Amino acid sequence: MIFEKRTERIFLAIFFVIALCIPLFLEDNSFFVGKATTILILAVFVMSLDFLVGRVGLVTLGHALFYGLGGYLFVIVTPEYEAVNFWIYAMYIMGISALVALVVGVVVLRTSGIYFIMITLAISQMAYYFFFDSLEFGGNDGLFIFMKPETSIFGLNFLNLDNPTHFYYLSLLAVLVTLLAIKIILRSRFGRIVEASRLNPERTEALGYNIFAFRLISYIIGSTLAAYAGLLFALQYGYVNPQFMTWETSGTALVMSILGGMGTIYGAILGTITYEGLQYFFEHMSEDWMLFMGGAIILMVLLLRKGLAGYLEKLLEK
Amino acid sequence: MANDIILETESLSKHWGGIKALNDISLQFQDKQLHGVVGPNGAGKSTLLNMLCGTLKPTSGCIFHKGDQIEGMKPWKFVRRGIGRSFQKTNIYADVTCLENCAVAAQRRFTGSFNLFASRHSNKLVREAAEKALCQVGLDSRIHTVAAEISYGEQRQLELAMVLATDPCILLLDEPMAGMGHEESQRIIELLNELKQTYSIVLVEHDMDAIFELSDQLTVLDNGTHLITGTVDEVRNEPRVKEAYLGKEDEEEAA
Amino acid sequence: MSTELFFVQLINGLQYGLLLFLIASGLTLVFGVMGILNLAHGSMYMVGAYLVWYFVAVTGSFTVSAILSAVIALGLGILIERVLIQRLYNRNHLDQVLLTIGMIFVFNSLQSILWGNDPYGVAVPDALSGSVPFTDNSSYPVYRIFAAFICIAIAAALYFVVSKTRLGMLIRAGESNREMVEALGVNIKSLYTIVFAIGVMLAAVSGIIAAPMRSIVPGMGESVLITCFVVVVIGGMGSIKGAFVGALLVGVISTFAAVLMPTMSNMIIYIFMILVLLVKPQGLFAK
Repeated sequence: MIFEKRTERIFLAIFFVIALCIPLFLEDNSFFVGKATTILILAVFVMSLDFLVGRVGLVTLGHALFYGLGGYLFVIVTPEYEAVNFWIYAMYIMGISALVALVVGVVVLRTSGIYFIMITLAISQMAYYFFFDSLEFGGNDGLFIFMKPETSIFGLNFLNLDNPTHFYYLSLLAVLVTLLAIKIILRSRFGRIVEASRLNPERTEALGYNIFAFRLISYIIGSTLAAYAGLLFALQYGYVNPQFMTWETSGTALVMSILGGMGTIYGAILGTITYEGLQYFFEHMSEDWMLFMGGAIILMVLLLRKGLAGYLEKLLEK
Repeated sequence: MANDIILETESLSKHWGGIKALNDISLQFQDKQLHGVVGPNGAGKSTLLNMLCGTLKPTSGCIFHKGDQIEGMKPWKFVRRGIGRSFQKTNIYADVTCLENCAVAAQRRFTGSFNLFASRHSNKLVREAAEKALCQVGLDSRIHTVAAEISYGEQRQLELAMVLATDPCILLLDEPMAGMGHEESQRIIELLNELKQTYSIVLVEHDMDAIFELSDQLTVLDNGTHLITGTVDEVRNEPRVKEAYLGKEDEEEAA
Repeated sequence: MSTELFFVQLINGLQYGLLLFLIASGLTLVFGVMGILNLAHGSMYMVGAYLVWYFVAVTGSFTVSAILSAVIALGLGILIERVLIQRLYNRNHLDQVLLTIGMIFVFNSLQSILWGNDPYGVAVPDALSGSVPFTDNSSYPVYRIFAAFICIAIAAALYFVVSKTRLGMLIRAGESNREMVEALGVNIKSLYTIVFAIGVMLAAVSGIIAAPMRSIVPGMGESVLITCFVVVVIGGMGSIKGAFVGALLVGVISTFAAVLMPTMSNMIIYIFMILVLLVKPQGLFAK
């Protein structure tokens, strides 16, 4: 069973039922459907981070690099005024992102602990400045996506990405696929060694496993998922800019993951929804929403030691 | 009858800045024998073991396994060659079951660990090997218990089980009986007597009774230097050994 | 590049580096002794700058404002350590990251509420304004020379405290072995409060010194923080000597990069950091 905890099954069941119904209830309100879509896309990003940080044990502050890469790659590889095939180009972009992750991974995985945190931060900052200072890639303003891709498979076309509801369901599908993929990988033989490397790297190496290889593959998987999320985000809003790649983006995702309950994966969904919900709530309450957000974060660190998922599990698990 | 030399060091040394942890150690370990390594505290026993399993790189000198030069290789490559080690300070996966602990150890033998899809529980051979290793050390009743919840002595046994689960040729054991009571130690001694038949063992221990009972060959280290290697009787009668231990043994007895 | 320009940029780079050292030394000190990675360290720099701007606007005297701001920063450091940081000692790096990010939010928000988001400036105090000529064509601002000397003085004081005083001995001991320090009968809690307060002071004082040389804008804390990270990683986490060398290197390299390759200047520091880490994964002077 890939969903072993009762809390997990209950949360996910409720989440998916509600998520499936949201566009039906909000048919007239495309603003809220759009907001919900963004939350779903962010959840994919945060789940991929939760996988890397919480399960593989790679605390990266540079995850946003791949988020931005997904968006930028789309603009770079697709012709400007043509509606390309989404599925083909998504795979193509994920492939390139995986290669980038391979190169970056080989460099950064030579370090660990605090140094790993810093070097991943530095690389994403480098990428940020690269795009920020570059004229060809739009500099600080970024680039626009003029035509959304089309989504036919073997001639059958049933999704129109200009339709907010269709885009919403595509994003929900992404959440489902990401969740299942991560859970299956964690339960697999590969996952067993990856978790062992996190729990006790010395011991795992003493048992004959090349930890570097396991971490590298995990890093590639997590980063590619982040790139897909970035691609979706860029397509939803029709633009990409260097802000996608800032350390604030990485940091916010990390906050959402820890808030939800680091390492639980389903907590990432919970954390994203909670964070975005809180931000929306505070923004409407006051101009100084950041103050309340910061206060809320501090309180949660001090009081909810294992995040929201941890708290729920304490209530619901025997 | 001389057994084959399965592991050998040549002028092995380890320096930390000005401190010489090990100096010019040349040893030969024979196949299917239990080779004890003793010495007062600080003699360099753990350092030697750490180098024999690849965790530490020597400052100079060579290590040969079956004739191949292996010093400087990554630790996991040592394990691949069949060199397994247990830790002096218990180093297990505390938050999972004993079975899972040994399953991680055994997995490498039976299946590709880069399989991203097959469930970790689906391979029967892995589970059987893990259970076998646990039974070998006497932990049959604890197979499904979380490792953090078993007693200290049982954790030392688990430590041993994990090495056995990797099915090595050579066992490097770093004080497996540390902190154990008499009865538990006896069990380990019996086990080691059994294992001697199938594995080559390098045993670092402070428990002298165990060492004298088990060792086919015995090496004494003192302050990083190699004092003597020989049979138990040869070593016991060597005056330099008595000298090295004289003050130290009184200290240990008083403690 | 003319020799003149070279020397001006070199001095600029060293002066910038010295300022960076001040900030970075606080970060690395706190991490080395307490094991805490304080992401809100940059916010302390910002607080120093904003406070001195505010008090100059109110009192008109830079000296008075500087002292006032430093004292307030000290109090703030003690307060934060007692109320928040103390609760982090047994928790992992992630909780520290999260809590200190929360602090960044709070500080940025307070800055916006108290002082607004317009860019501000602090005038160079009259006594230190003007330039010192050093060739026929060029001269160098007095304030910058002053700033460099203050940084050197503080660095020397830091060196003196760490290597020659009892507090310094405790700091060095605490860096390698917390339990031993406790066993020596030292009140670890007080030591940590002092160390954290020193760290905050170093950041705030560099903000105060930097105020007349830069515009005071929202986000200045975060950009300095990132540069600080680079310095500390290059030098080796926990090593003040490393922070010194790292800061000077970063200062000089980024200054020359800004002049020689303006389009790539932002990236150069990170490339340099990655190169250092490839050769020495723990930094140049790692413990």
